[in-house]
Amino acid sequence: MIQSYKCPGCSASLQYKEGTDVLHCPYCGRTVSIDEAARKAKEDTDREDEERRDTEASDPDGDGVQQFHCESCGGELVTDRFTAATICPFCGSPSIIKSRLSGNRKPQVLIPFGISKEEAKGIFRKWTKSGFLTPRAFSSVSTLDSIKGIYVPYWLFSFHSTASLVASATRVRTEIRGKYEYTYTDHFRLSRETENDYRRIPADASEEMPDDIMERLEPFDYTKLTSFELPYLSGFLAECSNFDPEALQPRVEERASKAIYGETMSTMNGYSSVTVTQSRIDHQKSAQEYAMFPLWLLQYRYRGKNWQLFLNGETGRKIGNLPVDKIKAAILFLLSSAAATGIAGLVWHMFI
Amino acid sequence: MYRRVDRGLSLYGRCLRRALTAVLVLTAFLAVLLYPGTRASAAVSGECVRAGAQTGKDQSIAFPAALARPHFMDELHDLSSRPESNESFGFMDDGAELFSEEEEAELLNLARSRGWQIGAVLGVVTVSYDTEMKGTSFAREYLLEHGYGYGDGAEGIVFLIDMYQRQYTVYEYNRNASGYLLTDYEGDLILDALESHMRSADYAEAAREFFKDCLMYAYTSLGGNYESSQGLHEQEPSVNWLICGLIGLVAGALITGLMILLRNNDGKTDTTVYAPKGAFRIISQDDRYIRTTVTKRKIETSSGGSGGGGGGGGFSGGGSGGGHGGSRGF
Ligand SMILES: [Zn+2]
Ligand SMILES: [Zn+2]
Repeated sequence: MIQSYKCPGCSASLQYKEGTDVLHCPYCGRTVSIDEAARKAKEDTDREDEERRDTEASDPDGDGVQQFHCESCGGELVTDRFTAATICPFCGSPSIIKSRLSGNRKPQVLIPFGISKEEAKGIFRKWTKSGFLTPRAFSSVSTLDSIKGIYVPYWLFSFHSTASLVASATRVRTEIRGKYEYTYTDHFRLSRETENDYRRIPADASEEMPDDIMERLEPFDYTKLTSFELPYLSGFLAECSNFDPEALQPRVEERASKAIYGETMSTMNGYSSVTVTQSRIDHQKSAQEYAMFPLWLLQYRYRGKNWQLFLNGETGRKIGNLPVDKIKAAILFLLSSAAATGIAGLVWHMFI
Repeated sequence: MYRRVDRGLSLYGRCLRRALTAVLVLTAFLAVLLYPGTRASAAVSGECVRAGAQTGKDQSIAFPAALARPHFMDELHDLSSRPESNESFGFMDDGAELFSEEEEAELLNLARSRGWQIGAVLGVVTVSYDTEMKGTSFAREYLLEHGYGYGDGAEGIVFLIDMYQRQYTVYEYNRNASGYLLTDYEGDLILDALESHMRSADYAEAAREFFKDCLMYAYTSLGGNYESSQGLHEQEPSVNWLICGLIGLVAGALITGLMILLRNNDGKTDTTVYAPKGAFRIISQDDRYIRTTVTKRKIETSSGGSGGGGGGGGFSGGGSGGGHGGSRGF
């Protein structure tokens, strides 16, 4: 079933206004608070539940592709099995597939978009214009207009972690007596037991999003974390979790292991060398939350290749690779080679 | 509630990017400015100023562009008055037998050709007996006694190696009114340049360095021109553009590669940001001393004289008889 929020004034679809806690109407400018929109939607659902249950979209082929109909224009929305919110390709109305985000599939927390589309476009524009080597076509207006705001599913893990390390260490000093240099190597056995609490280490639960990019988009500012409400998704794309949290936990445990290992190692200072001989690291999961975090995505095709630039939708941190203009790179190479040759010749001439 | 950590890497990357751009611009600027025609004008900064020897004018001479001078100075020294043969311009007197026969022949040849170019006598004297004199005094006596020189004025620079006192001396003698061949500063530079060779007992290399430096400082002080004195010296090594080109290509590739890499940003987030401040605790900690191992190594020393012996000597000007020089221990 599709959820959308209608403007009480003009019946157009309301959209979440970035950085606020209201929905607004892009036509008449009226605003409705998130809480109110959620409460109203719930009342409507309760009333309609009985009669509309059997209109739930079917998945006849079992491949996860489902068809819905746009609440505004009735157009056909074809979604894959992880789509949670989309925008009607015919009328542009926000459409939220509620069934994928309710009941036991409902996310617990969410960070709303803090950066508006215009701000995101500005950041992308500045970024794609930066650097001598970036092709000019990359910062064109049409490219920037195509940016998408996406809520990405995350699982947040909190661990109480303990580490127990044993290491052999040396401390070297030298002394000169007469005609001899004496090297003294003191050997030590170090042991450490440490603990730390890691709260809400995120792991993206989207198969499509590259894990390393998602990790580099961190950190999100958790002070903006709020409990999940459907209306926040209105006007954006959203995906629901592709994975069980158990599938993601090892990845996060590894991150926590690396962190506590590094922190523990940093307590073994004042030695010439430290070699860890035994280590044991345990994580006790204290919490696990299903979350949605915002990002802006710029997709672009350049020379037969897809390029993606990502923007943390809350903090504005940007990650991604800009394509290289080969001609410009060649010019840079020739110029810098010539300059370096000149410098080398000059140095040669003056000093050799 | 949570620490926000700006990663050092991205900051570092940004700085590096800026530095690279600056280096690139500067490099291009320098390359255009300095090469090849405008070198003379670039060589104005420096610390050494002296009176031009025979031009009668003051000339500013810059270091380390000393080598560059011959290229833009006109030939001022009168080569035509010099004898065809260079035999009278160099001598070797290896009393202490520090050189092999081949070395001696090579050095004598060098002394003569460099001396001819400078228009003054260059020589190397080694002694192993007690001269009972200061190095500079002995050098002066030696030059006078042997009557080295040509024409009216005798000019010469002698490199004296005194194995008895373990001291080496550079002494310049000049009976012309035209001025010294070497300034005190240049004399000190030569003494400095010889020091490592003397310390490592490579006397032939020291002599070669001496001739090279004499040519560099004394010849150019007379306003001479390398290129006009042909045939009697081997060509000074010129810039090897092949090697410079290769260096340039490597540097260009490095700069381009770095520019490409550095546009693409920021490393991963350190997971430690997810731990609240003070959450990390050391439950137990033990650093136990096990044992100490010792290794012993003999310290290599070059010769009997330890570090204290050297130092002192300086190349000081003035004195009677128009000569000056300096000595150092080794
Ligand atoms: Zn409206
Ligand atoms: Zn529609």
